[in-house]
Amino acid sequence: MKPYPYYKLDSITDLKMLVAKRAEETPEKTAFIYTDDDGSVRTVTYKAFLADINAAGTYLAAAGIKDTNVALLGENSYEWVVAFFAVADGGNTAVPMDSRQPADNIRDLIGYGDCTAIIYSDKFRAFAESLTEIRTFPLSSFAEWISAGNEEIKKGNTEFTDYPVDPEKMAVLVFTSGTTGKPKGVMLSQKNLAEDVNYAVKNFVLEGTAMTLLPLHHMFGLGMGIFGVLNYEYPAYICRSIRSIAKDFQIGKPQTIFAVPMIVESFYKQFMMMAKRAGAPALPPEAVQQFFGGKLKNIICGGAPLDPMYVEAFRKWGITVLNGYGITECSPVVAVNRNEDYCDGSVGRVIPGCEVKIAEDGEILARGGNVMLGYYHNEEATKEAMAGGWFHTGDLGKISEDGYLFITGRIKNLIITHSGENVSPEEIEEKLLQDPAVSEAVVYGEDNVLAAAIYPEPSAHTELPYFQALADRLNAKEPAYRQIKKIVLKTEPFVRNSTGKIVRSLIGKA
Amino acid sequence: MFEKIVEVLSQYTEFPKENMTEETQLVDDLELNSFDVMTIISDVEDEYKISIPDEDIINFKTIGDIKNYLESHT
Repeated sequence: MKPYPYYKLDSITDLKMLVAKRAEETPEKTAFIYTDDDGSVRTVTYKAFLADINAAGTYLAAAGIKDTNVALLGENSYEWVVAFFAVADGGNTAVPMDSRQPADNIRDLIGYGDCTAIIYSDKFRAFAESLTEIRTFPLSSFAEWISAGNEEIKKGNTEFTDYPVDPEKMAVLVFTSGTTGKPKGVMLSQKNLAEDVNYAVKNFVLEGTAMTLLPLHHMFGLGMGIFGVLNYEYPAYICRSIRSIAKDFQIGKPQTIFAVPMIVESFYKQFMMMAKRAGAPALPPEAVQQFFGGKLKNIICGGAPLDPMYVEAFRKWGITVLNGYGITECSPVVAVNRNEDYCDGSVGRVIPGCEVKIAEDGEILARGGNVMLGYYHNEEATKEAMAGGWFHTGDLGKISEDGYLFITGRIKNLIITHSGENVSPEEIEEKLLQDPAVSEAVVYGEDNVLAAAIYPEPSAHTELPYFQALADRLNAKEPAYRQIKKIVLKTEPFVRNSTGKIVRSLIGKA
Repeated sequence: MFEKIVEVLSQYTEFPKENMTEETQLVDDLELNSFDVMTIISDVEDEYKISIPDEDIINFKTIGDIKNYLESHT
């Protein structure tokens, strides 16, 4: 397919401008939809959103929250979003926490991130109250923040509303989990976030409600699901919990959803089961639409590789799955497929404004206004990641002749064979996974040869000789250094981290 | 109660209903991912009019775990 012109959208320089612009241009349009604790549906206009940010920001400033790092801990909510802007637009750094990790990890990250305050939801009350060293602000007191902030504004306090945002200063500190090693604190400035929004939203035009099915501490969920959506005059529906999404679809009737592959796969599985129960080979598009609320056109998917099979299946149901590629360090979007310009199996073209080149060893390197300031308190890691002025993503890829980016693996997973050849295990795993009897597969190096750990599809009832024959068939097409010499069958699925990625460091040890 | 849970689960998996036991593993046997389990539990919550916290769901490994939880919470 051919590239076609980008959509015209005004550029922003920071997040404060993003909200202010919308509140000025479309004050009465709905910015957010969400359901309250009692199940009632709430809507917030752009004007009211800006007023809430100003009140909450003024309240925090008056409470002495200035030029400091503030942890945000809680499930997705409108109040969380307001708190984020109230912190970041007042010259502080917002530190969004993954609330699903163990309490001890969160405690460590709060210390490592030099947080002097925490904003938390009721679910984390006991934990937050155990943090005696830092100040605590419960989101359950949100209504009081707003009235106290508005009182301050009435008295003439303009500390927050007139605060001149420095676009170059760290505004967000995000800890990335990764599958190995210690977490890294990615420092992003308002400029980084604004530029990524500027680059990414041009690719796509939103024509209805958008819903993100990701936690907001995740840069894809926050950056695209909230910041990106705020560029259009359509609402963002805030899903409080992944468990309520079936109901949320019926209330929000999204035109676009943001998701990760695991969710897309889960939907697909549910539709196949629904078809089976109805005795049909496939579910009709109307039934699929009904599930999503009736208006779904696009699923924007990122975070991990997605089998093109799902893209094709959803296309038959009239839903376009646009796969993209991003990394927290790039705020996060780097490339994305477009509605009229896509290539299945690729992650689309690199977004304008961000430059990408492929290093000699195959690593994807990125440069542009969306690339992070560095890693927090880790100059060594920053230097290594930014060597030569390019951010080293750690992902392996290639750009096709017609300009589409393909992700082929992770550089740290590369297996260096005895003969010095590099093998990307993901490429071989993908071939194994095409066999219906293979449920999960991980390729690793052992004793200078390639080994494959396979978790067989339980319903296939296959034994080791079956997989040896499969390896033989694949090996016949590969040079010696890429051949699988050993197969280990697993009796249970691989351990995955909180983002659903297999923890490779455990392979071969368990 | 067991039959009711099996009924809900059978909407999400190809695993034969008649082969499900209390020891049946949600992930290993029924091949559900964590997102599937969350979705299923919200159906169970509707069915039993209760609310199950996420941190309890993480401990559900078998069909028996769900049954035992419901028995002690309803």
